[in-house]
Amino acid sequence: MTTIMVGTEKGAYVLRADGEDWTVAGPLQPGWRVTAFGRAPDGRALLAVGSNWFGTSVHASEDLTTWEQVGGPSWDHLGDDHGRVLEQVWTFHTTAGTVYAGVAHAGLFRSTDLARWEPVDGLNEHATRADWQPGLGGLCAHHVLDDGGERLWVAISSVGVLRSEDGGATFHHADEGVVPAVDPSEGAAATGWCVHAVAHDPDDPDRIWRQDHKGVYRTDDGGDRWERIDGSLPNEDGFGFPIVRDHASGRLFVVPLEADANRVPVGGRFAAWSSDDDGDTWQVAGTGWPEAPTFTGVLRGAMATDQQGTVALGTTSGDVWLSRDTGDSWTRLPSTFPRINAVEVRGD
Amino acid sequence: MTEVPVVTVTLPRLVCQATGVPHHVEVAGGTTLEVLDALLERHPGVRPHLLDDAGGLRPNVLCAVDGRRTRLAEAAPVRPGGTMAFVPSVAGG
Repeated sequence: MTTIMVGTEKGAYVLRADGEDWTVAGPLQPGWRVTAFGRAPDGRALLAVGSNWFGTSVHASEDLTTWEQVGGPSWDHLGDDHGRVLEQVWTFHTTAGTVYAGVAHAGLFRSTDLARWEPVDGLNEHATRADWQPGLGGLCAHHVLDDGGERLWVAISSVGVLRSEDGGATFHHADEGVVPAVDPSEGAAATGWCVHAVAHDPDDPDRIWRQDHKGVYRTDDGGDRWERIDGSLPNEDGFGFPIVRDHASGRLFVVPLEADANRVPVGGRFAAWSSDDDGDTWQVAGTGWPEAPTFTGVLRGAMATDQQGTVALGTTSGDVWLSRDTGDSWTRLPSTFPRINAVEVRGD
Repeated sequence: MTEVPVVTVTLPRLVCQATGVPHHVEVAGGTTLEVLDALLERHPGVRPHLLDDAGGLRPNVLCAVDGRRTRLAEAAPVRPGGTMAFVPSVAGG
């Protein structure tokens, strides 16, 4: 059975396929902004909620129906005057019995039991932190990758990709070849590299793709050098938010938007775009996209794959689009939700 | 021997929904801060939703003791049978 978790501005929803029909359960955590899904080291499902009034917390479930609040990241260990706020959990990443949480204000925490969360100070107290400046989406650590060993990559908006070779003890910027978010020639100092999302090949973790504020890039050496690969996308500056890779097929997906200042599909032609050659060339991903002009977007956490050919994305106007054939054909599911922040495709 | 007052603490419904804590909780404490400490000791999941990362009351959460707003910056006495309510600041138009 295919299950799609949809995290919205007002709760989460569980979409389950029953043949060609879909059932919708929810909202879970009604009234809360649901910002991320993940897996706990013990296999339970995770979700993070947030609120403009009441902060953020993490919840776990064995059955996607009953949810229990568990411990969560916190800046409490810094004392009273640190000035950091735990605005939102942006991502969970689980590997080797540890779950990492990327948060805003930008930081990384990890836990093995969901009760205690250890700050990853190699990133959180990085020597360049004083220069980190938030983008429109806040100063957020939104993607984590690992190689199954000691190497970690963390993507932070308006800062860039930082890589650790020692399990998180130290991090170094890995952005060479990427156009920074702010052009120094325009009179502002370069404040960083505004990476929007990253994806990699788990069989060759040094191959990483990144959707940036200014372009789509690929590296073959773990981020020592990036190559720009958005020349065949329909927008001028390669702007977009999510990038995902289906492991079984190796197919990449992005959702190009017109530009930073006009975050809608080019000409209203809403579609995911895909690449079968590791990003060298791109084309509209399959068929089924709306013929009528559609001015919506897809946020960085709102496209996902089960790595076996099912791809789902949720839009800022609350629609869920699904492909079960690696993006060859797409269907808009019948329900409409609040603005969608996060999508997860589960095989159960 | 002086008996420690018991007050009724009211929590925001959104917080109750996320934490599983009842909307009204009876808590013993001689002052507002003692009540808050006792509440958070019994229901630690409430902490991130009422307090900010520096341990202060969240900027968009108000606290009222017997119907009057209090800042919670310093301890104030509570009375037996009194109320202490945490409510969200109003947003909208």
